[in-house]
Amino acid sequence: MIESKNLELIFTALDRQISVSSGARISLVVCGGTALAALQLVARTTKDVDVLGSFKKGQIVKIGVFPEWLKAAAAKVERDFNLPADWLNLGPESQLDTGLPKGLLKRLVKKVYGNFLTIFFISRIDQIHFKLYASLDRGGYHVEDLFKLNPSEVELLAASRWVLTQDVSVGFRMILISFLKKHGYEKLAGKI
Amino acid sequence: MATKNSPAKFKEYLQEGFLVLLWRQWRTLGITAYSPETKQLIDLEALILATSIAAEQDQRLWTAVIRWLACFQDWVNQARLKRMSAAFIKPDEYLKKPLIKKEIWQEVELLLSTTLSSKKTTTNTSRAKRTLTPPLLKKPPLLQLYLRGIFGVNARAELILFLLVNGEGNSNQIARETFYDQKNIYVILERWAESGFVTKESRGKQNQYSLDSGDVFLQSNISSSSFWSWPPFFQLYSRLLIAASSPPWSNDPYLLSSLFRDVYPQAMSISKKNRLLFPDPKLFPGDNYFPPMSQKLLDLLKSSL
Repeated sequence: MIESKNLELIFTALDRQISVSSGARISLVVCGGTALAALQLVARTTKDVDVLGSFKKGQIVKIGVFPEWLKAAAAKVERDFNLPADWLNLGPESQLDTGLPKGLLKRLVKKVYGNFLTIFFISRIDQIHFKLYASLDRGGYHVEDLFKLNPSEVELLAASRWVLTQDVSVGFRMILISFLKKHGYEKLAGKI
Repeated sequence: MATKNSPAKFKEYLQEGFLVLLWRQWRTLGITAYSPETKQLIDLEALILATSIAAEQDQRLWTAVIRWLACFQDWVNQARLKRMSAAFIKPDEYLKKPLIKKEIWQEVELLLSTTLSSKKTTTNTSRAKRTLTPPLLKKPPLLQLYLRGIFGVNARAELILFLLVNGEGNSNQIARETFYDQKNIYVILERWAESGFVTKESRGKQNQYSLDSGDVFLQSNISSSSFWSWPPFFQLYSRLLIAASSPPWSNDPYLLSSLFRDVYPQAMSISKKNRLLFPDPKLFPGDNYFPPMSQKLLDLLKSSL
């Protein structure tokens, strides 16, 4: 499992493996539980690293399929740290098609793990956006993560407006209003 | 300062052990040295390859070996050496570079090619008289050369060695482990079976061959030597030596640990013969594998001397 205390080791190991896999420099944009742990926003374990895309020339671009050398390097790290298969994945990449919260690029937090690997973690405010969307869509531990981020009303309002751009249906708006009311944000629900 | 379990110490002990192993074997083959002779059976072609890997780390040994080859190259099975060398001169699966440097291997090839290297051979031969004695074939570790003395420098010596050490085998297995062509091994085994020198037993799709104990005249030689399958052994330790000596592995316990995991199956297969157990990689994530595995690998090297 990945947690804040071994995250540094795992990414550094990935950098070292890239160096011996004839790899190239790469910058990955990471969201999800790994980003929460890396920025010490929420202390919890996660089984994988969700990659949104690669960071090139100030933009997040789709990767599609990881290059072979990165797959080989990730496979070594998987074995060396007893991580689950597909621990490094492009699961959230489709988010690039539906749109990112405004200003996300400027808020990315950069961490360099060696000569080859740089990770850009999404910030707390963007986590609130994604976690609100995931809470409405899937619920479960995402709800817990969202409130552990201790969002302010202003932040939740911005996140609410963004999630409504992801699903414009009336039904989804009702789900959002109901969710906000349920969690004590009646005033905010009225502004949606 | 390097600690006991540091990559620097590992490299130091590994290099020292590897060179001691080579010196002991070459001493047994007739190179003058202070080190004691080995008691293990020697595989000449595997030893040449291993020494080529360490050539830059011990120039004195390399010079002596070049002289030995100049004088006694008739004992070398060049076809077998060439076949065996394939794994050492192409880029290694894990290190992504050849285990033997191109220029070193070219020197060996040039020396063994008598027509091209006659001048160099003459020079080496005259110098060699001061530092070499001809291999004494009656020494148990030189059983391979002894058999070559009887049967000639061909597959028969290794075939008998294989059967003496392993008891039995099929032609595919023997060819693979002795670095000969399977057809060649099969033809010899069939002839020997017809003459009653070996016993043939059909098991499934394969015929198993074993030496007929009545005809074995070499058992006393083998009994004093525990056999090492030197080509995989040297390949394993060459990888380790090169990694421990060159960046990015040399100062990185994690990358060395990862390489240890890569070679774990090979190390297990080699160590089966002396019942040395290696730590399970799954129990030591990341660089935690370095201390226990490096120690076991050094123990295995020590037990091979």
